[in-house]
Amino acid sequence: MTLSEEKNGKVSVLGLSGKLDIEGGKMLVERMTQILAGGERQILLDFTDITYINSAGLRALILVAKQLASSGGMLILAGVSDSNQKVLNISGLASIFTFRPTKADALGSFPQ
Amino acid sequence: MTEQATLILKNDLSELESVISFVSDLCVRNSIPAETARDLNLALDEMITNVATHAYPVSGEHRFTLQITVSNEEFVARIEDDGVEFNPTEHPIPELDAPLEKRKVGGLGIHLVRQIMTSVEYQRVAGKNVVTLRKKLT
Repeated sequence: MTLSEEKNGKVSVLGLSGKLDIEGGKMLVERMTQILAGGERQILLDFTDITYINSAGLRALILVAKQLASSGGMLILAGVSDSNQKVLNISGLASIFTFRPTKADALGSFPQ
Repeated sequence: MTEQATLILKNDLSELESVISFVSDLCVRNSIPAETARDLNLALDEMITNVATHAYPVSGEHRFTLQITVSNEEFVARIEDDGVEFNPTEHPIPELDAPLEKRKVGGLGIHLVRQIMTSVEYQRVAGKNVVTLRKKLT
């Protein structure tokens, strides 16, 4: 997995590309820890280019969600494909995340 | 027409790529729809990762087998390892409705397998774990 980053106003946008598996998950958790340490609290994870999620990826997402919740932050997942959404639904994670179909929709959902 | 193949795998996550590639090709050859192929790959990823990560707590190279049989009606994967006894059918289901702060990170892999496959059977035979995953194709 590769990770790209940009800042859009107060929102940190992380673009994930490839497989959210054990390696991708580690990368995500590490970067999120750094971002939160830097004081960021509004995070958008762009899943448009994520081709695959397994349970290791799901574990990383849970950890990231917990990190952000305990910091009082807000997290939105954008561009999750139907097949990736299915994995999130099966694992009962759909209810703990906020989803938007596109990055633009997600950006518009953060408080200004 | 039935196709059968047996892969002998090391207890190493590096084996996953070749298994996924093999299964993807097999699915194409047997006209298994892309969505089903993705599901099967995920289930096998989870099972193989489990064996590679947990079956052999003492370091060292071990081998286990993955036998795949595909017919028009069914995809069957039989994973046999001589690692620590582990019955995935008795693994507790994670709490799927728990609020975020109570969510545990473990158990999701086996849960995904049980949701994806039509059935998951376990036997302990002569010191080996034998897990049979079946997916109906029709």
